[in-house]
Amino acid sequence: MWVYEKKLEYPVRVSRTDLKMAKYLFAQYGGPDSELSAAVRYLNQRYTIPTNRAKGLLTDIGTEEMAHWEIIATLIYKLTRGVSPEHLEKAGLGAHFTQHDTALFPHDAAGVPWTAAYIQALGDPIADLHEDMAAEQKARATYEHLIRLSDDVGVTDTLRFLREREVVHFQRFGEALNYVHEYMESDKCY
Amino acid sequence: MTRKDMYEHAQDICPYPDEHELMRELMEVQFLVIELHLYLDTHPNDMEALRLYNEAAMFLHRLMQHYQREYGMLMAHTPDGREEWQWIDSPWPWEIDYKKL
Repeated sequence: MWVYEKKLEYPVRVSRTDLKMAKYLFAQYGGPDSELSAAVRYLNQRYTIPTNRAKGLLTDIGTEEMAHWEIIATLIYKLTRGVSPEHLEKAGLGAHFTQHDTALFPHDAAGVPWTAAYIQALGDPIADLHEDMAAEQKARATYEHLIRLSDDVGVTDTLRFLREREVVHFQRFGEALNYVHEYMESDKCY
Repeated sequence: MTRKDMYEHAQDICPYPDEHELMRELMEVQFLVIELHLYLDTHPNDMEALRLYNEAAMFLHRLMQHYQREYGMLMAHTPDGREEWQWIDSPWPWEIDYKKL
């Protein structure tokens, strides 16, 4: 089960409305390498991963990804408060307004809706942990692109935190992978 | 009790007289706990890390208790003997003005 904490993992300080940045941030809300993909990927893979270390890590990182998904939502929410449909239209969010007003929806920066086809679970611990490490690197690269597009120090600060977390998660998954290799070696009968 | 006395009393309980200062400290300590938690998943035999985790988790518990007593609920299901249901009070996490932190 899960229990909600009524606070963010990291503060979101936004200095002004910025619809272009909000549009780009949808990449991490409902894109292929989004926080949503990460959370569903890890929390779904954990049932068949063989070692307790990896079960713990997939549970805990999956949970942290949900907290990051909430941070991205907060960024988009704060960047789009009190704007007119005309401004949304000018920023390329006219289609979003038509279907969702200013509600959030898990689609990518171009409006393509989230799909489970973005993630995988092979049931093979080596393949699954490699997928997870690749996912962390893809999210890290996406954050670097977003940081280059951001000119709001508050937004950049939050994005830097999220980028750092990808680096740490990559490191931890690598350690879990090494241990899975050891585990599989020790299990072999000759 | 005068206002000054109340302020000093609050300082005795915890050195964070301001909600935002307390929230900031709480977020920092919680981050330390999250980071040590993930590290321990792949280094369960690191006794120094476990010692740090225990200390940080105890500190976080105290800060959470203090915040919830003074400023409202962060978690449900905690035995704080509530006299009013504050869970649904604003602001929600996405509504907070974090520039005050």
